Amino acid sequence: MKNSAMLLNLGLVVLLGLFSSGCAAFRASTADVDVREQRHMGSTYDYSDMRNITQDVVNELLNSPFLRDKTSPPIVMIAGVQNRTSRYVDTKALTDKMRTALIQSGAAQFVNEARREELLREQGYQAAHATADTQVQVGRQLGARYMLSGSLMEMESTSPRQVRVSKQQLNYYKLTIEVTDLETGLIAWTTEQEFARQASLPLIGW
Amino acid sequence: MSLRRAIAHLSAAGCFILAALVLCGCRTPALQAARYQFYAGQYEKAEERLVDAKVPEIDRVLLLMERGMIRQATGKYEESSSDFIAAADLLEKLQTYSVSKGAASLVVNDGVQSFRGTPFERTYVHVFTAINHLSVANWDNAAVEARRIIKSLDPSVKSDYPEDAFSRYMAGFCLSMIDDDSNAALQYRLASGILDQYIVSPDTGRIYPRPATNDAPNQEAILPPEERWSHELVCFVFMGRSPGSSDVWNERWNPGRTMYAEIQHKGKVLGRSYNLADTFELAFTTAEMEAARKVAKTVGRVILKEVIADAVENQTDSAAAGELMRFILIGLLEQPDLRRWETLPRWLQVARVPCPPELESFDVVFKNAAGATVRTVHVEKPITRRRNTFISFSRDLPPPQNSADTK
Repeated sequence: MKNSAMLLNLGLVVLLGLFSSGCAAFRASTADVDVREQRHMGSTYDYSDMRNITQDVVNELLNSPFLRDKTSPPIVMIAGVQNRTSRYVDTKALTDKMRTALIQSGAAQFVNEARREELLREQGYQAAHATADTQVQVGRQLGARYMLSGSLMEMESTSPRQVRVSKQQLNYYKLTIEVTDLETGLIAWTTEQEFARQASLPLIGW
Repeated sequence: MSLRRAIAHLSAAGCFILAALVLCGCRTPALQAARYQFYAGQYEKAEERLVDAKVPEIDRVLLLMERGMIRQATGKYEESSSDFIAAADLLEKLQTYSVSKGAASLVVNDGVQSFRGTPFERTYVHVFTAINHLSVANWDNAAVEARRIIKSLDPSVKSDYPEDAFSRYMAGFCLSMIDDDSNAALQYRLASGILDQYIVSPDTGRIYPRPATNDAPNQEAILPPEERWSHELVCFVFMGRSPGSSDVWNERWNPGRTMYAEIQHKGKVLGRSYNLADTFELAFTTAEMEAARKVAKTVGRVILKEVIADAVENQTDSAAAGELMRFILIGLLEQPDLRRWETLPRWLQVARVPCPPELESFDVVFKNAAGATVRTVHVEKPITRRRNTFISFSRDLPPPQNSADTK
């Protein structure tokens, strides 16, 4: 009887100690994360993968004869990357990142095809309201010679049904990027970047 | 008071509190009221009710499913998709079996576990998300859902639970919208294999009655359009109301005969819809498959509860305490889990018909099995277009009511 009372008291003290000490598991916390660090929470596509594969594509494109042999930076339009995975992937983020790196390198120029409507609206507004010396001239936009497009595909395999406490999941991704000559319709340059990752997912939790 | 008595009293008090909590938690009046409003045509009110509804965390998936469906009926396709996608994400997380909830379900009832829905309900989360994406012409995202549908129908996920042709058809159609014709044809072929009465052409996705079948209602009354249009309309047609859990085993519940819809344009019949899935059949087959497991679990739970009640009776030397415990554990807490996605339609059909190239609106004439018109819905939106294919959907629901009589 005495022993059980002692045990009960001890348990209460431990419990109180845990709460009062502000055990990390019971606290809300935030921390800055270096985006350059590789961080994966599972086997599926994440921001580290986005950064890696876009950088690899840009590096390959910058070192390719397609860009190296050009006397002036070619004008490119982005047609988008098709999401062929079973997940919601912001493929525009992929092409935005590529475009940023290529513009900053000075190796290519891009038309802003996503903002054409706004662009025309602004030109129309200026034609009607802006002073003649600050007005942009209509009909002087540059046409793109090349189109950048591609696709991101995924293949997933999971361990078969069996008695187990965790599930193995393997995801393979392949990004294909191609640059098409708008005049000839020929694919002027293409590349593939691929990666695969395996993760173990618990089937039993608290 | 002896320690044994004190423990017994504490256990009884704990059980009372548990019973009260569980009984309160199991009831989801907001969901029930929203469903009632939905089927009464009060879509905005039904949605409002579920926006800030206080629903137990274990019913979160169900709330998202119901709200997603209600929002789809109000034309809020993006919001509806957000709900369905959130439900799918939660369902993925719920694949991890919760030991604590599992243990609680062994001594309380199955209602203390998080709602995961049946396999066909989980597939339909993706099907109705795909409908939303098609309604806003987001072909890539519709294809994402097509892949999720296919994944959910994989034998390693679905096990031996029944498959339905509508989900396969939807997957095939979404893939055809991104020009993945070979995979679309595969899905159409699989859909065709499931259907007894109809054939789905793997190349065109058109649906035809099987030659030997003569029970398609009012078949001869529907004449093919005279014009040879190069354009086609694919209209997903939903009718009826998915049965509640108790309906599946209710002998007096009348399942009714399959309805269908005629697609008309300026008074001219373009074609009709064909039934590819019946949620009553899916629910019944699923319930049959789960019956043995559920009975075994219930028997085990009742035995465990008897053991607990006996232990209390013996420890307290009081038959009344044992009976009280028995009443709480078996009489009050032993409740069947009746949670189900109830805003799902009963019949899921497809009408794939030739149509004029300038299609801006059309009529969906819902008909009962005898061919009598039940309701006509004029469809102006959503009508999206991908090359020569117009895409739309329509559900046999009462017209929206704005009256403030029911809340």
